[in-house]
Amino acid sequence: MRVKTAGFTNPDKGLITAPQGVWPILMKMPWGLNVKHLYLAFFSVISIALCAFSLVIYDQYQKSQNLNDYMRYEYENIRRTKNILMDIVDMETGVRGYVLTGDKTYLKPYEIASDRLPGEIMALRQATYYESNAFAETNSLLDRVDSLQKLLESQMNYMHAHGRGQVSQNALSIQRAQMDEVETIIEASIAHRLASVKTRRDLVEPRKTNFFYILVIGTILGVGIVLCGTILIIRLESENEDIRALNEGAEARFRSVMNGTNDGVFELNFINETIYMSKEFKAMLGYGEDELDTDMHTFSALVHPDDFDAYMQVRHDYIIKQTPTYNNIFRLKHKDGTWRWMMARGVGAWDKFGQIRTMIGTHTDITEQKNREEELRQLNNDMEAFTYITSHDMRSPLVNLKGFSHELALAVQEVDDLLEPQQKKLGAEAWARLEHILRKDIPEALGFIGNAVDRMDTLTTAILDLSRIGKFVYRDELVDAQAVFDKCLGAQSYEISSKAVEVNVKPLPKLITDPIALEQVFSNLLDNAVKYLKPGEPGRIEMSCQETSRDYIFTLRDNGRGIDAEDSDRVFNIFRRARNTGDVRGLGLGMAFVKATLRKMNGAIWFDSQLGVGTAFHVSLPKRMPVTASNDQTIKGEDAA
Amino acid sequence: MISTFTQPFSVVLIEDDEGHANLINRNLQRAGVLNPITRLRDGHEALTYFFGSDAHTQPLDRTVVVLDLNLPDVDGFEILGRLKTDETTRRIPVIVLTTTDNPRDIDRCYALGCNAFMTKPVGYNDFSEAIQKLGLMLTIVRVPHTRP
Repeated sequence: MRVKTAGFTNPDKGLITAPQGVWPILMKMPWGLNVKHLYLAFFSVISIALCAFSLVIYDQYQKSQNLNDYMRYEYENIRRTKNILMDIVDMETGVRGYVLTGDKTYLKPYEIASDRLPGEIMALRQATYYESNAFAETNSLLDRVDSLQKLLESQMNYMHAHGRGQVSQNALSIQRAQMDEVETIIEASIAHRLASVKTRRDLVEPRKTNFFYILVIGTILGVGIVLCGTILIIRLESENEDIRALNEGAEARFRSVMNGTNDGVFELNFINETIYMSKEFKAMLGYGEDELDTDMHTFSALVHPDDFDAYMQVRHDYIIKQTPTYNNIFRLKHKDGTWRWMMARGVGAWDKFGQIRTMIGTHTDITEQKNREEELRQLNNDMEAFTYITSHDMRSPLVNLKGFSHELALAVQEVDDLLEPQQKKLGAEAWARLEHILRKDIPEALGFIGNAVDRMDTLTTAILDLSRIGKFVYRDELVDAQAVFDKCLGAQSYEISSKAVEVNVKPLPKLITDPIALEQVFSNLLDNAVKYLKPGEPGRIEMSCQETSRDYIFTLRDNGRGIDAEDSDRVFNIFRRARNTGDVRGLGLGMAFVKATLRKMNGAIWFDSQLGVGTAFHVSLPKRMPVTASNDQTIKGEDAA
Repeated sequence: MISTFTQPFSVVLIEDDEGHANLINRNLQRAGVLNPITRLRDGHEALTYFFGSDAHTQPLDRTVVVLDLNLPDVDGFEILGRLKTDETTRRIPVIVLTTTDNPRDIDRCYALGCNAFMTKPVGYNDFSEAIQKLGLMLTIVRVPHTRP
């Protein structure tokens, strides 16, 4: 009937859908029918069959009852008829005895019978009045009895008048004839009635066999149904037990997980405005199991006043289904008066009118994370401020260094100009020394100072640029990677054409990202690829893109000098470069910049390389839905609200 | 060479860095700006100069302010804000001359009402060029009479 499946532990649906998983076949029934409907249909058919069966039995019972009644009626009539005959015979015998003996005691039965007879005949007539021929029969019987009575009375009167033995032969034969007639009528009536009873019985008799078969079939059906039902119940019961066992297992697992994570469980009931809080939930806030009542407002009062509006807003947004998931972060008051950061997650249940009924979920104490987060943010802010201020404040002295070394150069020039006419006075040796100092040593020293300042300036600018990545506001839009890469190629066309580099660009996708950041990433990668080609070998650079289900992976492959495995960690470090790049000017900033930028773009960068063969840099960027779509959604949501 | 410029207005240089002040001075002179240059060393001194009790004895009209943003006590933004909101100093042209080239700082200065924003380049040639351009600008600028 049903196949038990592992659907119970279906991870997508969770525990709630478990019982449905047991009926995988029935779940596929058309017209939205389910197993309940089947059972209902089954049991209603059984009920109808039972009713019909009862009706058939009742009908049979009724028929045999009718037959019984009819037989009793007929036999009663026969008995009555026979009584009438007996009475008539009594009467005749009594009168004959009296006539023959003259003894009046013989008249006693006659009198009794003659008194009783009209009553009996009337009773018979009453009982059979609706039978048309019976009515005629009783009437004729009455007539006959009447005339016979008259005859017997005339005989008795004759006896009283003429004495014993004076009844004529003629009168006796009349009497005989009349008696025969009465007997004939009665006999005929009895025979008729018996025949009628037989016909009736013959009619009902085959039904008795039918009735027997019906009984047998009905019993078999009944026993079968009861058997089926019992088997079904046993099956269901054992399935239920299995489900219960699975449920208990799941619940036990759930409990141990909840205990293990120390998450508190809550259930908000919006109908009667109560809240269920688990033991862990209360323990998290320093309360015992029997503290805190179930009033929703008791809980609301614990929410930090500064967080309250935001808390209610997030909850409300979820309740009116504006947000698909419930994830609320707020502070709750601990019993000791401190505030604890909580992360609440939950799922709601709505009635068919879209009104929230309950929400069940968990509370996680994230105070520690929150503190660390705050600390980290503070540190990050400090660091940003530090880099920002340092890079600015470092420039001020540089301005002085550069400015005054130039002033110095001007002054030396002036000294030179002033001394030159005096060189004869100073003497050749002194002039040679002065000349060496003024025209070689000092300019050389100033040159070193100048170079150092330039380098320092470049470094501070770089630090400033890196620190600005964090402050840069990324604006995602639909970007044609092909166009961006072409732009980068254009910017470096001089280098590319002067080095005769062969560039091969495979089709690149359009994606949602920040165009400026993407250009910076591409241009740095391309710049590196061109810069670190092998000297004296024609360069080849290939740009391609692969698509995975979640990301775009751009690959820039070159046949350059490659990166030593020893250097693989240094590539993305600030101010660090691979060891085989000494002949190319650079600060070791480009890749650090790219990595930091990609981190901000939710992307990643890695490479594979072989020394002397070439390097492939891979950049992954996530696939995203257009930002405008989500904007539309919020606008719609606002309209709905 | 640029002809000496002798319009009767004075330059107020608010700059904490001795070296910078010196270099600005020299380069302004090379650019031919021979007007009197008043040097103020920090924000407090600047505020006293413009808004102190004896401020009105100072010749505030026909003044051009050259302002550095990174001052040790009261920062340049505050001084700029005060200058541009006070009725007596509102019309004084203020040129911000600083090491910052952060777009946010530039926007902020213009929002506060500065008349020009210049970055101090580290390279000497660029620096002197910039100062000399400032000097040129000062020679053609028409300074309003802040007091009727």
